[in-house]
Amino acid sequence: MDPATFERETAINREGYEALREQIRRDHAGQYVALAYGRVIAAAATYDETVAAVEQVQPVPEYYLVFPADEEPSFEPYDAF
Amino acid sequence: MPQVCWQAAAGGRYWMDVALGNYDTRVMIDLGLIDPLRLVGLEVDPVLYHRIKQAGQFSRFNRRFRRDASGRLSWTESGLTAAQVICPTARQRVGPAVRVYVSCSAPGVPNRVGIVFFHRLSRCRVLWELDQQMWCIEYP
Repeated sequence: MDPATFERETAINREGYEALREQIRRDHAGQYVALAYGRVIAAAATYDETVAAVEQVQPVPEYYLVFPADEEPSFEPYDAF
Repeated sequence: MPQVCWQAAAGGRYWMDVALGNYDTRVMIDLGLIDPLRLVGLEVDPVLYHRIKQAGQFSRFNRRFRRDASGRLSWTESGLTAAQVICPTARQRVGPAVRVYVSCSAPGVPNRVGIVFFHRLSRCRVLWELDQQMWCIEYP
């Protein structure tokens, strides 16, 4: 993913998550959540089920995060220099 | 305090022994593996990653983006597990057991341990003996 797309998608999803945080924690407690386009696109009991649900979306989003509903999504990349 | 040490390999790389869940592995020390969110402390090859995952030794997962030295961004899966230093001579676990995320790297990339793991080693010290080319960890 190119840096410009990453920055743009991160901003969209940060903003979306800020608006959805409480709803995600309430409606998806105990689940994993996939976030893309600034909204929840999938949720399931396990990480693998959540990823599998995202892979069914057409087109599969280039940018999406998967995280436990009771944790903050990791918007910031880690560095492997 | 007792300490464990590893001699630099002939190529100049430093390797150390770490237990990830129930799996003992040798990892290259990589101070360029940095997570500003202080979550990811190691990257391991897909074979080991999926072995740990299949054994049910990851308690949580995360889909993260990683950035390499060229600035390229790609996504990776990370799992949370217990990690502990292994004494290279006695082959026993020493020092504190810490919880840290382990990321799945690309095939063929050496298993690596980074900054976050060392920062989790409460009350420990890293001693880098430059003349002797030894990487040592003191533990309580």
